[in-house]
Amino acid sequence: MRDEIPPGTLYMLILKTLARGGEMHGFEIANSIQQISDDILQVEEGSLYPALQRMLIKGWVTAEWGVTAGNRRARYYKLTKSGRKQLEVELSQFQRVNEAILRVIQMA
Amino acid sequence: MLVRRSQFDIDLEDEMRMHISLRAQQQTEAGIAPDEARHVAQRRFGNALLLKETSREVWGWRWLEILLQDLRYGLRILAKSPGFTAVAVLTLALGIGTNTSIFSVVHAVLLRPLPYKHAERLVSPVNVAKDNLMGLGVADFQYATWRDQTGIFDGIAAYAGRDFTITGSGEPEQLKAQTVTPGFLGVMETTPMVGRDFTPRDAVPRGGQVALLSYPFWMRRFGGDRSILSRQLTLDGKPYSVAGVLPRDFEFPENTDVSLLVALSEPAEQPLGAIYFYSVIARMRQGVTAERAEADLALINKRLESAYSQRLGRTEAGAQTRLIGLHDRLVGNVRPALLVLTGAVGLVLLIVCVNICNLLLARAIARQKEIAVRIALGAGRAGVLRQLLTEGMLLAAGGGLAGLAFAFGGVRLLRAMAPAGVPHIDEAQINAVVLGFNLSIALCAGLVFRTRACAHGFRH
Repeated sequence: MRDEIPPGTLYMLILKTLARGGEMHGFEIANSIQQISDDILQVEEGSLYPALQRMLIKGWVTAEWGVTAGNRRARYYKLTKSGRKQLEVELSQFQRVNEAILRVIQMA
Repeated sequence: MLVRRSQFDIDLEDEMRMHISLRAQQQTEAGIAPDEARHVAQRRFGNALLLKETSREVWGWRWLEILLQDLRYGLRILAKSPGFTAVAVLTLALGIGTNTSIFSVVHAVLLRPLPYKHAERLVSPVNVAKDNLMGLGVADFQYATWRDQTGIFDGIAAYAGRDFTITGSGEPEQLKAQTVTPGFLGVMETTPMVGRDFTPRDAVPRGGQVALLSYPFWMRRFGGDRSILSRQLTLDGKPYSVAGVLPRDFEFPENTDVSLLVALSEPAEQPLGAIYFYSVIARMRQGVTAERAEADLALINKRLESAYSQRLGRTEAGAQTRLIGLHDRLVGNVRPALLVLTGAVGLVLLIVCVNICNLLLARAIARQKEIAVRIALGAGRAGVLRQLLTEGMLLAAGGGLAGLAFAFGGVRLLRAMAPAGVPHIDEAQINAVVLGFNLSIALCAGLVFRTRACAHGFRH
């Protein structure tokens, strides 16, 4: 069973993945999100790319072309300082919302 | 930007292709047949084309690209049905052309401010009889009494039209002229561009001996020669000296083609002999309302009526003096007619829009298949609408352009056809304001007929 990620959390997942993994290309980011979530969260893999473009514009990540271990040309994304800050903002916001939702559904 | 854009596309494509091929490779390593693996990878990736477009849109170039694409497509579609296009463009040209022509006249006659300083304070005192709304002339002694009453006007001048024949130095020529009291240019707040203004010493009863030339007449007859100031003109066989030349942009209020002003002596307050009637122009004193001025004039008139009751004709007795704004006096007679015309051509444009809307609806039925195919191929409803709107705008732009050509002829025709006495009609022309009007009605028309047709089309 695979679930689509909740709307609005894609940025947070990408930011967190980059924070953990350093420089990664798109495929690695998609793979990483999927593996760590035990294959439950599935990014529609292509939607990663418009999101990355948006993050580039916002200055949360930078991109540089490099070569993969398999000797392929790939664009590597890296978190910036403002990206790190954004991650904190998104995380605390997510936790707040999550806790609120939990409280609502756990009310007897 | 285009270079950057294509580099952007290449990068994005590379990135996406690599992603899919890595995913496919992973699938084959997991034991799936290569063909199947590629398929799975692509399915997991999603609609690459759409994603590429979304990525591009992120950078904000898409709108231009979309516009160009819509324009290209629209032009192709219109070129494919030349009959429809020609009919639509010609119909629009007719509607937009008539509107533009009439507007150019409305602009020149009604909307354009008068070319005088503080023109809003210029008024024309007119005698109005009780059952006669036509303005009557102002008697010379009446004018003189108003002139000598301080506190109402900052300045007041009388004038009357007169024609002259100029002889000597070139062909004899009939000239339109106005005799004016020496204060006339002062009331208009202007001064001659060459030479000097009239002085009371230049003035002669009924006008004579000293003249001011209009700029066009000076250029035409004397080639702008300044030595004219020391020469004499022969008007109606009598010698006139030239005081100066009026400013280039000076217009006489009632006729724009006045070639000469001739000094007229100030009438006396005591009526002696024959009474002459004049047109009068005055500059209101700042802070004096028209009502108060009219009340003051009424008082003066009453005094005059009792003093000269035997000398005044029946029409003069009981006449009231009204102050009419100069602009109203000039355009008052033609305003309703022009407004009716404007309304009429506006309706014509509306009818044109309805007709084109019908044409588009008829075509929409024929194009249903094409649009269905485009939607099936993934075009969004908004995209289809936008494309149809662009097509409508193309039609409107064509119609506007053709309408403009039409209006050039139309304005000429209107100028030639206009009855005498429409002020400033000669200045009706296609200028920037009229161009802007043309553009905006073309766009509005495009928007109206296209959205109507679309709204109708989508309901079915």
